[in-house]
Amino acid sequence: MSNNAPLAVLLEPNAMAVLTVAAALDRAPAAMRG
Amino acid sequence: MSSNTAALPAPLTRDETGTLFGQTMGLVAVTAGLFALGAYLGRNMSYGWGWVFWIAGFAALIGMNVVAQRSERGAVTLLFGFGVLIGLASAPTLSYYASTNPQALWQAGGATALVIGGFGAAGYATRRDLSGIARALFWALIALIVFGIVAIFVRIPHSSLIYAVVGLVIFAGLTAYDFQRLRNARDIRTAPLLAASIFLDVLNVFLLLLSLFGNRD
Repeated sequence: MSNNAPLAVLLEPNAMAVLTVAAALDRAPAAMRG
Repeated sequence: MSSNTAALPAPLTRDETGTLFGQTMGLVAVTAGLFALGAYLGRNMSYGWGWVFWIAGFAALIGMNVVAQRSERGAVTLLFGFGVLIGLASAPTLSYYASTNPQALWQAGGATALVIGGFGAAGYATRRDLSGIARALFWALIALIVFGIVAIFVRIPHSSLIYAVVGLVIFAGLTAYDFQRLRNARDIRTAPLLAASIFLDVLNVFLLLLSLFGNRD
């Protein structure tokens, strides 16, 4: 990534986005395939 | 034998929909408060401990999905635990911004309220079914996560900026969808799961805005 923040700080949004994917998995079979 | 004839459960009346909305948003507010408590308690923690608490928070979230249909109280307990654990997980990052660019924290907080308020209200009000858009956004989010991982190893110009802007578009849409789910929900037991989704929307929007405001060169 393109700035001086520590790697852990830059990865934080990615880590939280993973939680959103995990939270959506409870409705995955129907919701994700339509 | 007493004649306590219970009202038929479905569909929810306007009042009951309001109750579900109130209960869900109450849970979001308490979870956000516990997140703030966790972030405060962990303000001097190392990044390594942040990842440990992130894994624990992930486990609490999965546990909540498993427990939700069986026990509302169990799901609420796990939701509150999730709030504290994710607050602890985010503490090192928030400390970093507080020390390098404290103004970004206030800017990101205010802008998050505007984004969630605006897109949440739009999603709650619209008659258009957003589930198709949400499906596309879900896959876009997975692609964005892959992009974020690739950007660690490959130098992509302005990757943080691209990530934050695309992420905000995705989470604005997911926020609208989650508020539409809240309006259409028929089962009060879904409140903790809806609260977790909305809390995660708020948290993601906040962190993306924070990276946008906090990492300006």
